[in-house]
Amino acid sequence: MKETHRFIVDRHEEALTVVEVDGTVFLDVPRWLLPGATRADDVLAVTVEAEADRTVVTLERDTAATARAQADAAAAVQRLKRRDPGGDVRL
Amino acid sequence: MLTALLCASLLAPPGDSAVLLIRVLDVSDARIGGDAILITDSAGATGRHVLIDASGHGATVAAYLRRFGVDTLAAVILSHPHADHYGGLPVVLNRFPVRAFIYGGTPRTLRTYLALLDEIAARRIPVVTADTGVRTVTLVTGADTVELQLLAPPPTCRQLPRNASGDAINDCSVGVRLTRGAFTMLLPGDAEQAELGWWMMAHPALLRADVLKAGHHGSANATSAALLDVVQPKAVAISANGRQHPFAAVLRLLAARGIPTYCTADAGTITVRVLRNATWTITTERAGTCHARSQLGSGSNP
Repeated sequence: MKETHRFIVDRHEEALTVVEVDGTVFLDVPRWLLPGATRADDVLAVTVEAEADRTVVTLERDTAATARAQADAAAAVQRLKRRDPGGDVRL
Repeated sequence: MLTALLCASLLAPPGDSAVLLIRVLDVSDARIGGDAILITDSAGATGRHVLIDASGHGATVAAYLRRFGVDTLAAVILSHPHADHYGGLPVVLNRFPVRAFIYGGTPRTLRTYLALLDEIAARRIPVVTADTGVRTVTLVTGADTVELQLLAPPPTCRQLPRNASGDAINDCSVGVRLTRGAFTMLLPGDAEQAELGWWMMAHPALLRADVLKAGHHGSANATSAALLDVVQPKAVAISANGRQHPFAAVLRLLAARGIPTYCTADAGTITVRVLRNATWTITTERAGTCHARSQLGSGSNP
């Protein structure tokens, strides 16, 4: 049985890394579990092959997905920026 | 008895004597802790409220807001896009009308963060992107005025920070300097030495404050002797999750200077009460002395 999931790295905390799992929850994972070059905002492709007595988990930096996510992020910020009239604000 | 009095003061309705309340909410029960700070100006017939961050656990923050009589938020300020600061915001947006959203405009790839920005757009909430210089938000309540000066993060934060440790996001915090009459409070988000140093060069006069909400949950990389020399706080509040934070070095530094220090992980919600004549007091939800959770002198915790 093979499953695929997606981690996105929020931040490193000492020996732990906080990852967003499938766009929903956050999970602390040991930093040593991740590819060595992993950085904040990286998208990691997670493949899980579970058998009765062992599970093989593969985590791979997905540079193409990261690039797409970066473009989406920049676009989202720009969309909000266009709605900001600028200057000081009185509430 | 003392605890009962302190609790009573926390629960007091926000209509007394035109009080400004700044509550550093105890979110140390949330798995990843974080920050959540509620500013309430009670000068008008009903209090007006601004929330800075919502920790990683929105239900906890929403319960506080209900407890403190919040029905609408005049503004929500997101200091920086780490999950222990923005993670609770979707719940807050779902439960309370929000009149303005203020953030630094730093992009992140996290789907939950993009969903938050999309939600703000879909709800047509007015947006202030504090990504340049200093912008001022003035909260007018009755005859009272509270100024929130927004210290923008460095220009590099407009791009996705690429840093192996992820700490660059902390240095993309929007700092808030609150002024009400002669009272001032500095809330620097999770800004660390790089951003704090940048602010010290760019806006040193704006960092001076009566009360400092320690940056980065009491990590040593956010509270230094140099910063204290500039801010000259008379009291410090630390929002700490009680696991890694606060750092021993920070508590030692503050103790050596005789600066009263309050920690949410030990004393619960911290309330700064400012009267119209600018006198102010600090009370806590329960008695509790700050205890270090890490002996590290520096670190890269969120």
